[in-house]
Amino acid sequence: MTVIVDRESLLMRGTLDMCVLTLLSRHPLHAYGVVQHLQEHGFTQTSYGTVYPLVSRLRRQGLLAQDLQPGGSGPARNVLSLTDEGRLTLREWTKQWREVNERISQLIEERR
Amino acid sequence: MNDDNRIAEFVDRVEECWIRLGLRPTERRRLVNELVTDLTSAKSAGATADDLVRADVVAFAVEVAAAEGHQLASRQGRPAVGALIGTGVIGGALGAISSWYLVYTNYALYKLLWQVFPELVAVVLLHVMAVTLGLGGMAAAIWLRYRYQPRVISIAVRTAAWAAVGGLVSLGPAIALATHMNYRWDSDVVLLETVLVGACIAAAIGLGHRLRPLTRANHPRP
Repeated sequence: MTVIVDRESLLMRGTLDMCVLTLLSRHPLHAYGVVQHLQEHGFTQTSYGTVYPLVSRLRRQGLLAQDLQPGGSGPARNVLSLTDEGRLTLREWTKQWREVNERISQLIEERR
Repeated sequence: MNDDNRIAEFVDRVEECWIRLGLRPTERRRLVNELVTDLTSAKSAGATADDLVRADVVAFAVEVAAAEGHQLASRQGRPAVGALIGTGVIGGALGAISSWYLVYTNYALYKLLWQVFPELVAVVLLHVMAVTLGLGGMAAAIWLRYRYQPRVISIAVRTAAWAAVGGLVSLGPAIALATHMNYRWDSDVVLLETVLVGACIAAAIGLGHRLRPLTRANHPRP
């Protein structure tokens, strides 16, 4: 059972950057908002400690932008959004993902 | 401990890791400010301390630093032996100067020791105090410089122990040199003696840490 869980977390980790870009392509979020959305989509092992370094990397790569937005009555919020380069990259990654997924699916089907 | 305190403690521990990783203060402050702003955003969005600080602090700090493009591969989280020797020798020298003023030229201490103890015991005690101050200065300097290093006390104690061995080894050549120089107190002789003792101590620290490395090679720490 541990092996299965480890494998699943490994697979999810490998695709987490693409999932984060996908979420942020829909609407800007702060890092904790990304965690919440990922957990709602079944990434239950994902935590703030995983997402924060990841979005830091994506920002440095120029795929995400971060703006400090006034938070109404509360403190200002760091809000993340996709840059143009981020959109292009997401398109490319999504294409790659579909192709790889298709190849793997074909391979699995052939074994049967 | 309430949520704010737990989050503040988490930030402190992450910053300590960044210090150990060798991030420059300006860069570190930037990362800390960003992290604090983000944690505040998350908290105002309803996140609890449990949601935010359950990460492994070291892994988190390393990942964020790496994500920001800091080169960490060459840093194994232990002081370089050369830097350790330099720090130790400077601390030891300061300790030795203190022992000169506080012990060897302290006539009140002389009087007290000679009144309370037999002469031989008093002499031994006097030298023990002086050596303790020197080694204490060394250990204190190492602790001060590497205070965020894991097992800093062990590193400081071991370095001081190796220095003591070097000091003992230096006694023979130092006495031989003093005899050869007819026990002169000229500044060139004192300098030569100091260099000789310092070299023995530095060599002993270097050799000691080479014989028993500070951390196991397969367990590098940030």
